[in-house]
Amino acid sequence: MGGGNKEALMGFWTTFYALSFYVATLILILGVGYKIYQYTKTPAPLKIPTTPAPLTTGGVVIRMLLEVILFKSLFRSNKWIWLFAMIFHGALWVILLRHLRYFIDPQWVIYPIWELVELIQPFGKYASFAMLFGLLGLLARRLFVERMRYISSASDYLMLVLLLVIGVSGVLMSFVTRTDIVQFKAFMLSVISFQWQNFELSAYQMPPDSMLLVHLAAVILLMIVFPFSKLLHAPGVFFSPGRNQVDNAREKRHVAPWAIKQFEAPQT
Amino acid sequence: MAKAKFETPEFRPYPVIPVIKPGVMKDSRSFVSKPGMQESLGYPGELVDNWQEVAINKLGELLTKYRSLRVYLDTCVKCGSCTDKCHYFIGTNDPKNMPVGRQDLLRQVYRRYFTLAGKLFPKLVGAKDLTRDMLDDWYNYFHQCSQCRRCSVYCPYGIDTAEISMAAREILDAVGYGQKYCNEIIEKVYKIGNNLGLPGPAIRNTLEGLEEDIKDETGVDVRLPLDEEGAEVLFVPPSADFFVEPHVDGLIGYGKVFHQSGISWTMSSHASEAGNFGMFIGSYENMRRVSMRIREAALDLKVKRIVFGECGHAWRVAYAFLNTLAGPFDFLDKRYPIPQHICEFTYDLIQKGALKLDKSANDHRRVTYHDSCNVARATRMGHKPGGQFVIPREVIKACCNHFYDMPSDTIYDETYCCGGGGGLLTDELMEVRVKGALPRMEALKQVTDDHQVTHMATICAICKSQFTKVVPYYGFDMDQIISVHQLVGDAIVLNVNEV
Amino acid sequence: MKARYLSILGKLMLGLLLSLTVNAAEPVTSGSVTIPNPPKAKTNFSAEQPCVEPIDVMRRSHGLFLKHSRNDTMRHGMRTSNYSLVTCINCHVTSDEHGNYPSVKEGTEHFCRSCHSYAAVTIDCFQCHASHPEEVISSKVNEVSSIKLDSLGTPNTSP
Ligand code: HEM
Ligand code: SF4
Ligand code: SF4
Repeated sequence: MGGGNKEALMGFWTTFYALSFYVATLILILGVGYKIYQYTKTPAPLKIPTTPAPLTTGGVVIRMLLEVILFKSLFRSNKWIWLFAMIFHGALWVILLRHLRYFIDPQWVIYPIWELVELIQPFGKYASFAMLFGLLGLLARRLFVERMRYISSASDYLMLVLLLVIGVSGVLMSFVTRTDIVQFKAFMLSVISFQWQNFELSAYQMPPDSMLLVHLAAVILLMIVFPFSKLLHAPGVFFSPGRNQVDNAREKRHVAPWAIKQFEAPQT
Repeated sequence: MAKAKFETPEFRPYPVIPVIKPGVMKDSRSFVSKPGMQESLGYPGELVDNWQEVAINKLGELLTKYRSLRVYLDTCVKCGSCTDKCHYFIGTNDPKNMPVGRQDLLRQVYRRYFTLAGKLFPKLVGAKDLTRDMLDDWYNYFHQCSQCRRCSVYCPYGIDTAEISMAAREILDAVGYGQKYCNEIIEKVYKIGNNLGLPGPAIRNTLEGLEEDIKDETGVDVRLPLDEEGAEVLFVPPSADFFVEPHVDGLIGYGKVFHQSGISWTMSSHASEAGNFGMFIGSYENMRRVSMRIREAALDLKVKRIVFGECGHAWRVAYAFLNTLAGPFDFLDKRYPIPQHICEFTYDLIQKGALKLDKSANDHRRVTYHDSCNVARATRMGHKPGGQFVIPREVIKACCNHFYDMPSDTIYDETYCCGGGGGLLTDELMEVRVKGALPRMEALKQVTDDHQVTHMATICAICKSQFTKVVPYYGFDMDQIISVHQLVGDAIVLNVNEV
Repeated sequence: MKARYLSILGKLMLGLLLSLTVNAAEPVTSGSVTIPNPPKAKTNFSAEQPCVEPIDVMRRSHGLFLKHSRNDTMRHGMRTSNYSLVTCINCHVTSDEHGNYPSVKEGTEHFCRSCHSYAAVTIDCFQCHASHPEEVISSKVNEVSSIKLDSLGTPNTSP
């Protein structure tokens, strides 16, 4: 490939990544959407909250928030897993927020929102190190604790490796190899607003930086595997009957449609 | 003490997480159910020829019926939080007794047949074919789970291995590979009316004998009524209370409480069993059928209230499922919880000052209390979350001067199962039962050393039977196990309320 | 080869920016997607190269260069002429026909701000440094010193 072809090559990558991004987004949204639909449609025929459980819906919301934000059960169980998990997930959210800057044109939003996006940047930048630390901790546990090795399959390690690839390429790009942020944002905004004609113009193409290509490829892969993997824990936790049911079995009957059909229909 | 073909685990000087020993409990196996029992529960008599197909179809059916199963099979991230929480893993070191290890037996098959990743890349995601070895692993290891829910407390998603075990057992039943112990008992309930197979006349005899005993001992006519139409309360004890020690002393205690309350009550020969093994085999249908007897008895005897005796999983089915399975109970008195636990009943009377209790009657006992797993983690008593921990303790403290709790990570919702719940209370499983009791025995040892505790009270028929059998392996005496209502019965001062 | 490609790319981009320039400092838009349109510099660095490094190197790494020169200056007491913020400002920040310089706090007309606001990167340089070419400082002392030290975060000019 001669240097003169490089532009053509970036044209190719631009198209390739734009298309992959659409495909991955579709798979992610439809896949997770389908799973959520499936969880919603599947009845929980019996009251099975792990007690002591809240007596009201408001109480359940609090219980759920404590689980989702603070990983309360995990904290009771094992402080090491909790620590690494908190660091990893906390950093992940901050980093996700930081990435909003690639998807929002400041002209689309009112200023205070944009100001928040600006405000989060330095935090997001250093959160990447926290995320890597958390991931390495989780990986070390998985590798070195015998019980963890026993319950892990290849996909469990690979998931951590994939996230590490995302994190390492991101950090390298931020701090060492660099990329053209403005050009990348122009690319990303064109992708999400379907302005494909822009890709003819080099100012809207993927910047030709290998680290960026790696970073995005890994992210796209993550989006694709999400609905088919254990990453379903993110939506799944909200559907866990052990955690989301109100403890009111004596006060309220709780009969599933299939149970009514099977046992009670003739009587009604 | 029975002759053991295995070694009783040593007390651990400090709590260490056991190293794993794959396969050590592989051959721990309860007897397979017989054709007749299978059929009377609505299952094929023996393993069907196309069991693989039937099993997969059954799993598919359950996935559409139980959200718990679907969500729990999908969401586990293999974080390892639950790995050291199961008493059977602590006692046996077999990694398939780690909650996630146990779940994975079913999850691997789920992934292979029901997920894209498992269909395309089975090796990568640890998906496995349903082979005969796998089916046997299901049978063996899902009958080494007492469905105690301890794992669900610590799982970040509340994944409850009990739900997985129930589903697996239902699949096993559906292919004709049920467990004898559970299915035989359910058959007895259908044919005779209770788990022990005591016919009505035998129960009547026993109760009359007990009434005489009480009369001899106290000089008071405490009645233990059976099948008395028009009583206010239908009382449903576990059938072990009719004659097994130490259960039966609990029954005498209930009788004295009812006697003092002045509330008319009756037991029923039709519903002479609180326990409901339909839950253990994960069968909604059988659980419902067993539950319906209680509704029928309540209607027949025209009672206004239902009260349950001391039985752990029975209280779970009663508290959490009865209304759903056999309700609505419009014909009962809505001012009282439907159903009510005997501890709630007694506690209310104590609160109202309606019982005169002489604590010194229990002064020769230094008591601790074992929270039964299903009561602790699947039910409630009273009107506040956690009442299931407070109320029995308050009842005990009202009757005893010396009460001491075991270490805090072994009580309340962190309680350890006795080791014999969930359909494991059978002799073939003695090894897993003894080993599974280890954490509870360690906790008991601790209060024995620290506070010279002499008795462990509990409110579950299975706990009582299991403990009396296994405590000798750990150097305790079977007489140290006691019913909460025996403490009540011994402390109660009879007749003060009578005019 | 790389140099040739870079210069082609640089020229292309410049050409693109120029061809799309309607109003020198307004962001340009293609489709509905905006990109910043920083004002053109006063002079070229050399005949071959518009800036001190090739344009796409500058676009990626100007933050690093400035940070390094800051560290060198402050820790080692040396001023490196190539990457001096003052020189950048002198060449890149241009005034309108009335001789007024754009603000670095608002709008999109200031050279640095045109991209930094687009990419949500705060600039801390101007808490201390002048955001305008040096010759105007004396006449506008008051205005410069009135810039408040209210930017948040650490020095941060990289992606
Ligand atoms: C509501 C949102 C979420 C909640 C409540 C949540 C919670 C948890 C918890 C409690 C764990 C177990 C502890 C651990 O092993 O780290 C975990 C593990 C994990 N989470 Fe999440 N998570 C959420 C979202 C996500 C998302 C969006 C991702 C990825 C993009 C993710 C990736 C992971 C991974 C890879 C693990 C496994 C770590 C390991 O292999 O040890 N989580 N999550
Ligand atoms: S439910 Fe109890 S016995 Fe079963 S795996 Fe969980 S902790 Fe072990
Ligand atoms: S605690 Fe829950 S998520 Fe973690 S390994 Fe056990 S079952 Fe899986």
